[in-house]
Amino acid sequence: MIRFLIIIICLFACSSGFSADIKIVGEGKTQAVPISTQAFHAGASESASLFLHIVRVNLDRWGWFRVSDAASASYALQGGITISGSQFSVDANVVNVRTGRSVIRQRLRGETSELRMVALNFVDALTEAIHEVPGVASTRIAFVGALHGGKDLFMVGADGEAMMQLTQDAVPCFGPSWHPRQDVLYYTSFVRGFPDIYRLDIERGRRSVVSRESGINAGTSVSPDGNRLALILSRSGNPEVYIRQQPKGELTRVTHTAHFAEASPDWSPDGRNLVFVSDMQGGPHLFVVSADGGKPRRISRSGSQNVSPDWGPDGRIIYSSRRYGRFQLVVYHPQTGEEKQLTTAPVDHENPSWGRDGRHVVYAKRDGRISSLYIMDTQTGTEIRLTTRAGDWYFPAWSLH
Amino acid sequence: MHTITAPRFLLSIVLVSTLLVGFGCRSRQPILDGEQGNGTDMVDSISLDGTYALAPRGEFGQPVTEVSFENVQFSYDSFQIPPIERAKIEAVAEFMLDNPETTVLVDGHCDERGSREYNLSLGEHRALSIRAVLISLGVAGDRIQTRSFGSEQPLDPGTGEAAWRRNRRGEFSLFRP
Repeated sequence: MIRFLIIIICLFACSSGFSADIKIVGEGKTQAVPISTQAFHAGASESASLFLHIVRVNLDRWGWFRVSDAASASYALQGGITISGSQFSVDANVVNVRTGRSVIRQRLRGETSELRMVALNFVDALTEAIHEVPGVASTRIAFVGALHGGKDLFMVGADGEAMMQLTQDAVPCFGPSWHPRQDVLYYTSFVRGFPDIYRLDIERGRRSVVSRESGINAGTSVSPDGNRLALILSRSGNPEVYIRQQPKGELTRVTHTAHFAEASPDWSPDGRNLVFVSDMQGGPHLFVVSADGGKPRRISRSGSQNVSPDWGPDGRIIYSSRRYGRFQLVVYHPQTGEEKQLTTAPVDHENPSWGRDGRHVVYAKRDGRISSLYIMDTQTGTEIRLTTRAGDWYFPAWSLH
Repeated sequence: MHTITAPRFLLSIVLVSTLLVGFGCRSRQPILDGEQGNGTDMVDSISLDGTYALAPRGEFGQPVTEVSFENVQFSYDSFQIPPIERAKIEAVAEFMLDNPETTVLVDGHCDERGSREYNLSLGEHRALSIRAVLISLGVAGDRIQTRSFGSEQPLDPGTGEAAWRRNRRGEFSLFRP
């Protein structure tokens, strides 16, 4: 989203304010840091209290903080917000209670209509300042939904707000994939009768054809540098993984499995490898191959089917593994070869997608025919339902920006 | 830069619902730009590995209505043509050899179980398996296009093996210019 704000940001990095017991990044357990908001002056106006409400809800939502009273807080949010007509002015200052030093201070002015994004960006900046992890509060999740039977692309904030319908085609569509830095989605749609790949520029409301070869055009994943697309084409007479240079369209074929089908490629964070689904060893399982080609290496061992891999920012791969008849979420660590099952409920957990914090995942939970989107904190196992509207919601893709 | 040609491509902002506290669900239709990236790549034509490369998608013409062909059924998670199903493909091949002006679109479908994306590939693989049999029976490859719907278009919306068996299928649509 373009933010039409005039933003004046003052960041005071704190050199000594971190509590000694905080562990940083994805895998370990992170203590939720107690923070008090009592000293922040929001006044009586609706916009001002909404701002503070969104800050507090998102401090509690993402596990890095918990809103506490002043007596037990390690950090205190100070400053305040004033509203004048359609304009706001915020001074948000977070102070380490023990040292008295400011860890982050933002002075912002703009339109009150932008206050939700201002609040979410502030929570993410605070998360980064204290935990050295990019927060996900301000990020968005694209997904496929069926409101009245027909399928379309949708988008919602990670906070569960500002849901938006992006297309009105009412045709099957598959696997949206975000550009790493732009508000651009690549996805497969039957809008012209065949499974073709489209590029959707959300800001400009424009869509263009990326690939409409004979057969299927599917499974698009944008490389971390944004310059390459991994995709599935069957133009050779069999579904295979390809890499397409953007925007010129030069194609390189990655897999050569004449009698087997590939699906769902996804890039490693360094852009050197791809994980993908193939039935070359009976049933769909996960393989890793160099983006330069070569022999794929199978990585999934357990489970009768292993599908929908997503290679996270910290190098861990999450996927859906069919175990005792249900798809469960499993995290695989390529360095150690360890895998950890995250879910056990007797429903299907599908299409997991990592948030940029490497801690949260969004996925589709299907009970019977209907899917809803959930976000899980992989450190605590806590689940939050993201889509509350009635409907069938699946194929979530979490933006990195 | 681009002309908006039809009302349905207009940028529309529609309030679908305001169930979400304070924020509605906006909706808009993207403008579809002219085709890009199509038809410029060479399609592989040599089948060194035993596959038959697809010819470019052409116009399909008029549907053939005087005859219809049975769906080819598949086993779960399989793209192999069961021997008992082969006669259905032979019937299509026979008709196409007798009517050399016709072309066929083979649609591959899967049951609802499993990954939608993998099913899209599996459905394509099923359609391609049927295509390979048609080619082996003498039908030229450039008369056969494939299309996978994955598990998106079940014949039988029910759940359970009877419904799933019907939904794992290859369908034939024949055309003439």
